[in-house]
Amino acid sequence: MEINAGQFEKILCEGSLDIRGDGRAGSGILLAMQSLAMVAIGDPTLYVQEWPFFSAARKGAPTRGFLRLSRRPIEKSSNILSPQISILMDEGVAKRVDFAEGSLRGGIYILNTGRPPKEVAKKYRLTGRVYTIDGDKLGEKYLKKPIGNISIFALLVDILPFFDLKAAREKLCQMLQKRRLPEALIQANGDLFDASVGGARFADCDEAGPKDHVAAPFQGYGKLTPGGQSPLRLSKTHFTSSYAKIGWRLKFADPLNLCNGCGYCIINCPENIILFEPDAETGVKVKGADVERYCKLCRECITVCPKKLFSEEKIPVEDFQ
Amino acid sequence: MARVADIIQRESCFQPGSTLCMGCMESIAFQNIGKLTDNGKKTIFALGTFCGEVSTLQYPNPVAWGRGETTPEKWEKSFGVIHHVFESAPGVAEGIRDTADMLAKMGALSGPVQVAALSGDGGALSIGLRTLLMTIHRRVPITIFVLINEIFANTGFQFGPTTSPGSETSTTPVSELVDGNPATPLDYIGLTVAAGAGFVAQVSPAFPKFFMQTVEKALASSETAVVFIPAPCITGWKFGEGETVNLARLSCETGFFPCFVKEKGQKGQIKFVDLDPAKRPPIENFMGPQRRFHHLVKKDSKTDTFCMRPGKEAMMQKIRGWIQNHLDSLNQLT
Repeated sequence: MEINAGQFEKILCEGSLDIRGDGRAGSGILLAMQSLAMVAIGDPTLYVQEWPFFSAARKGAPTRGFLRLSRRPIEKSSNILSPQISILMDEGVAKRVDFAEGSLRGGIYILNTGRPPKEVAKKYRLTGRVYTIDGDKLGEKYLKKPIGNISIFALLVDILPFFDLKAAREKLCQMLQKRRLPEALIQANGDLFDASVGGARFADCDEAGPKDHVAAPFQGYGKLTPGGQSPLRLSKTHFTSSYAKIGWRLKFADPLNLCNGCGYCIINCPENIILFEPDAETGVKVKGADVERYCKLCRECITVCPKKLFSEEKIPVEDFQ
Repeated sequence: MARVADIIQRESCFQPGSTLCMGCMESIAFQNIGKLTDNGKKTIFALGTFCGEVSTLQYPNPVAWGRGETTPEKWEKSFGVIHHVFESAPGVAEGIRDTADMLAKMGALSGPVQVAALSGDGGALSIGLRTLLMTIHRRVPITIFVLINEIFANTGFQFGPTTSPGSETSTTPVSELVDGNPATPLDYIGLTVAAGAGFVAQVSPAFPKFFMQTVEKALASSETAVVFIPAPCITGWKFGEGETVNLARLSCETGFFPCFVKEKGQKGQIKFVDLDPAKRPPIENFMGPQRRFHHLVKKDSKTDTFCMRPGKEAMMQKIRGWIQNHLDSLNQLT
């Protein structure tokens, strides 16, 4: 299947246009979807269905938003398994979920990243039109906060031919006014919207193999042993290091042997991942932390350590993946 | 009394892998409680619905509770978790206690059992205050832990009975006319003492030694022990990363959540906080880093300290008055 600008109308009239977005709680994917739904509601000829994936999503946890648009009443009520447009709001969650899973060949992929479309298409093995926009950088410039939701929203309004840019901008400002945001912030969001229009790069790519992004059939969770829960632990679905701020990780360095065994980091680590060994003199000696698997980078250990042995270090994005 | 250095080397029954926010105080409390309950008895936890329950027992990922990869073979290392609806943690714990006692009498158990109820402040003090007080009133020998984050964090940060005056929540929004929550909080410590609890304490992992000693005493208590743990909520209180423990310490030192311990027949003791307001750190230090008090306190860029916004004297005076009354009443509990 091939989607290009002229065929949107056909999809809308015959079935529905399915949009699915992956991000993390707090990254604004749900706000982007809701804003788009609000704009679509303003068009009397469109039917809209919008909802987030219900979960106990805490800050940093992967979350998913869905949006269906159609010219006919929408009778489906399942979640979207084969979206025409797949959005990746935060590259950190790509470690945990396949944002393009089940997507139709030749669909549209939108990524919030600073890298060129060809590069990300190769990395995530995408076939279709790939858009990238550096929403975090734009957000940093206008809102002093690396948040890409307004940029993604602007890009979606831009590429979907049945939306009007001017009306969408007005609708956005109205929505923010309803949330009682200060006038200056609404103005900044409007400016961000304007700057994001036309700020995207795109390329038509063909990198997907025949077996890529095919949803695996559900095989059950395996046998659960009471207490041990080994199959679940081994399934690696609970590794929470992807909650951490992208591109950073915790570092422990104690070259001068300063650790005095106070244990503050062990007591105050929410994830209980500080590695230590017993020490005859001081009780315990801290050796580091299980950064690779579980560290959410909450910075508690950095704050409580009296000797300042913990710090955060920058890592290249490729390394993070 | 075990040494702190020994306790922290024990194996906790709360493992990494929960979906709680980064830097969540509930998570810190759980992993320490997990280590403290590894004391030679089988532990059974009863959990009411709260953040710490829905984020650790979600089905495809209930891995946060467990001891490593294998099923524990020793009786004292094994533990159970029963989760139930909001208000029922103390009630379910009472049922577990009775059943365990009956089984022990029949000789069906190979060792002693201790029962702990875990619940949030919304579940224990708002929805389930009746269950909490009735369980205490029946003198059941269990330990009830209540994690206090002042709001219904699980459902979207609505105001609850423990919300501090002046704080902005999703149901007490700030406007030109109202400065956030107008009510003063419920005196939950006084209530539990009046209901007849054998051991009442308010502790925070920010004071490690006191926390460990108090929770050990509570677990060893022969009557109902109630332990309140103030839990700064990074998403609901809206503060920066790495501030949780600092705020927990300040919340005690400024008098919002004084560390407190009272055993039956003895006078209540307030810890780490001075009764004289002049000797306490200013409450602005605690309120400043949190965006829910943004309308009351601002940061002075010249001196780099937190100060009150002009025109907010009435609300700040109300908060100071409440803190002083609360501390005085706790000090007089006998």
